Amino acid sequence: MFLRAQHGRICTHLHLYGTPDFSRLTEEANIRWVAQSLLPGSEPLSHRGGDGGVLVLHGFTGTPQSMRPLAQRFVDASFSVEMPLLPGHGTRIEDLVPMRFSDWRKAAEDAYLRLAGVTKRVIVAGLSMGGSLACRLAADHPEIAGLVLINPFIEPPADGFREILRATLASGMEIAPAVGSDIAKPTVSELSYPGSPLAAALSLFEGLDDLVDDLDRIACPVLLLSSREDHVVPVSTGDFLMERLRVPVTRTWLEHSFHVATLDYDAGIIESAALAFAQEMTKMTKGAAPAVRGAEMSGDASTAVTAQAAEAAEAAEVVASAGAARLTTEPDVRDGSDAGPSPAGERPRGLATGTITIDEDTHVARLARLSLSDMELEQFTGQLAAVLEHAADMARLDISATAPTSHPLPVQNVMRDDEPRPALERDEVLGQAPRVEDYRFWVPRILAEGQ
Amino acid sequence: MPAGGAGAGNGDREDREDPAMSPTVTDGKLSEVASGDLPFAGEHASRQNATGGPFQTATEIAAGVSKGEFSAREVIEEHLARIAARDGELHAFNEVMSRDALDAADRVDRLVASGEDPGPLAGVPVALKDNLCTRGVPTTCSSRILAGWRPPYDATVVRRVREAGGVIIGKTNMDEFAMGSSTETSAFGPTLNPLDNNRVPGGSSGGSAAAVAAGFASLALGSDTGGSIRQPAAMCGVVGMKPTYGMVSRYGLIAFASSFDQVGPFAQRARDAAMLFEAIAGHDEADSTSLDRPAPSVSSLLGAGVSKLRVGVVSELVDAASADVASRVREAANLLATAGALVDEVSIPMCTYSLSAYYLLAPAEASSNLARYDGVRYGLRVEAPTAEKMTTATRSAGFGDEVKRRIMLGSYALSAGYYDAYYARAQRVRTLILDAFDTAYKRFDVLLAPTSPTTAFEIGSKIDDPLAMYLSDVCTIPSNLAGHPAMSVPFGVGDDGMPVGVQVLAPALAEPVMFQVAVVLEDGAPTAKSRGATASVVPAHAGQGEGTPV
Repeated sequence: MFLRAQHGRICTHLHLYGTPDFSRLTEEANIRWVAQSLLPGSEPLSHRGGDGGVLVLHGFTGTPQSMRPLAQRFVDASFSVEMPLLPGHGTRIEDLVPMRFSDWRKAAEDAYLRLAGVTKRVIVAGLSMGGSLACRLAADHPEIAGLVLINPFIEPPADGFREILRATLASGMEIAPAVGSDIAKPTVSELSYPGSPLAAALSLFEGLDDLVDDLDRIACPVLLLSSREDHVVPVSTGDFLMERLRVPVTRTWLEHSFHVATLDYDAGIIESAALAFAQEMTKMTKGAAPAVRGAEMSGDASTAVTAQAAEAAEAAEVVASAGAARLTTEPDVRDGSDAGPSPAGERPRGLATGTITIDEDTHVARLARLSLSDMELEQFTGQLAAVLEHAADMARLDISATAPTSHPLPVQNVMRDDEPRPALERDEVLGQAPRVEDYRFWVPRILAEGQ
Repeated sequence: MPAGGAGAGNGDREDREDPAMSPTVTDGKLSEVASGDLPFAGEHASRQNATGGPFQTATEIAAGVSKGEFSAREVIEEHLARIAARDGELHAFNEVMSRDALDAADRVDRLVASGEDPGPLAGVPVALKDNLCTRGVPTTCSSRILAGWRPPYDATVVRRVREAGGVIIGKTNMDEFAMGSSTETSAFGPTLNPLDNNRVPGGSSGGSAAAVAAGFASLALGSDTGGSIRQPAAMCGVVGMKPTYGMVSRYGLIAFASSFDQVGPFAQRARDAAMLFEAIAGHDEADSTSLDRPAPSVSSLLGAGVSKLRVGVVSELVDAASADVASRVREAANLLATAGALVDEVSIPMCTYSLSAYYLLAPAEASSNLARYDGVRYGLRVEAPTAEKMTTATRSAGFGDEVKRRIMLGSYALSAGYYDAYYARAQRVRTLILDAFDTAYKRFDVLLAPTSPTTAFEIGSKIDDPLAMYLSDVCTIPSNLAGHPAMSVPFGVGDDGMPVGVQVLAPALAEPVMFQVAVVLEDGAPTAKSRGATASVVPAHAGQGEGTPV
């Protein structure tokens, strides 16, 4: 946490330097952190789990506290996890003053190598400067399987701004004020230093200068999680990053969080998305490197399957909503070459025995537009089989002479007189949409390449 | 704020409990109310009694506010103070609408001051399940995929509550998209049972049930697709009622399973539930499944008694319950017999197939209804290069496990090759269940059954075993398949001291007779020591503080 860089406008940085009483600040810091021990909550984490590894990196002036809930999710999901305490952090602010980007880079590198030694595939997750370090590692280590970047600090601040910092430093002030833990949720705070050592910050900026030149060396898929409102790094830094990366990026907007989003309202979204991403990226697949999550096809054959699956899903939806309507033609959603559960002709016509296979689950997930991790698939398959087994008791009933009930009451179409009435407020409706352009809902392209 | 409940001013907690800070302490009239025959005698209420007036029952609040004995503002301030003091722990609310509620209370007070009729629910705090649309106020279904969504319109039932003078006090936590029986599948964390914080409040409308049981709101609305009003009502020791399908408008109720969903009331007492039911029932042209006929008046028959009413105790459903719950149902039957009803056992074997049919049909409808969460028009979007990938990524990140499970189950039951075996067969079994109820109702006016097979279970005990969780709906589902009304009335406690709910089932449109029976059960319910004690175990005319277990 250090410089308020809202919208990247220099003027917002400047006003911070108008009045702060730095001496009071450092004095307060001295009093508060007089005990040189580790701040409670800032302890590093090292966990031996399965073959998949996750390296978790905190931000500048922060501690592992900001990343602990996320790290814990990986631990719970049986990943091996390393979450180092970066040099100079988690004790007292003076300890950060002499530290430089190279120190943090080395610490991240060491932790990565420790983790890589005991796992088969590693992804790196970082917040803010932790995101910068994650990119640094991925540029240096092409074997890294994926990056989870949460409001990463990528775009180097402008020279004019650095000049001001250098001048401040030259005037004898070593520490700039922090903006505090930038979190929307009022009940939560980040364990961080009450100020930002200027020399250390300037060194971080230089680290970014080098990193920017190497961003095109990153070869793994990236999950980018961006807060819409961030008072520490400019929101534009995500776009800056995406312009320079040559790998697929899945970007998720965090609507309700500020900079330290891992502790904010959207923590759950981050954790679920990061976990699913990590599971996908560390999956041991034969052949090609794992594709980005949700992007499972590119060739003509597989897109054809998808189009058919979409049809089937739509048909299914029609059945459910129309109620009384019967699905008379059953579209064969899989052609013979596809590895389906069984050829269409052999599908059970009586009540199934209450089994469902992982292949069927995968197929159904595609119909339902869900991308499930292996762990979810395995879990759901067992649970759904138990429900279907219970439902098999219906096979005992003779239904040959019974009409179906789709609705407890007789329903009919209801039409009102065709006269104009006020509709919903357009702006209110569009205001709730994730993305709008020219009063229209904005969606990515509908057809995949080649369609 | 996606999870605003926990932020409802917990910092004020100490202050709020200080009598000097209570907004309603000093008014003499309120003390008078406090000494009246209030049925709510919980631990929390007792503490409030010591400091002033516990506005508890909806009928008394509405009467007092209408007559100007106390103001709607005082009522709402008191309830907001209770929420501030205890909801940080219980998490009944996703969003507490303090400012809106105080504004609405002031409007009611102005109507009273100017001599106008403030409506039958004048000044009564009403909590809404978070799947009922409130214009401009977050409506989340306790799902990440809708976190922060502010609907552009009000549900019809919300409008009707306001028009009746009711004050919407907040949006309550629920199982995600109403899929669950414990409120544990909420993306924002579970609600705790106010009577025992280690236990679930039931679900899916667990937040609404807990809000009424904890005295946060006198009334609440929930939705009942497979028992989601009645089962949590039973587990929290309050009254919960599912109306006849089509009786209450669903315009603005976020759809789960459209041939089952119905909105209904929670209350401390049956007569309060009747009042809210009458306020929301009746035709709505905005809902094409709304019955085009006037809603029946239920309050006029509340005191009619049960003499000569034919009551059937459904043996298969009693057999499905634990021994202590089954005993309470038999005691309830005896009570009705003593009061003049003609009670007999009835066997409806088809009931035992309800769960199987429901857990294919409801997920099938859900998989269709939830197809709308595609990241395009509202809610979460996870960006991806094409629309289909964006939709898949959005749904995968936005839905929780139980919702994904039901979508999977429903899509499977509808998919080519399995449709006849599962979905079509379940639809026919539904017909058989309807026929079986029609036959039973030739012999009986109402049926009696447990609401939940057990009392409230412990948090975490069933969440990893979906089938075990589904089985807790076994007694409530038959009415949903049939589209019939049913309600749960607190009736004594189980061996563990937790409340037991007895369920009154009635044929379509027979709400009046159902309420008639419910009132007799409620008035005769046994007094028993229970944890925290609620209205459920204290006769309606018990003196406050006398023999009140705390």
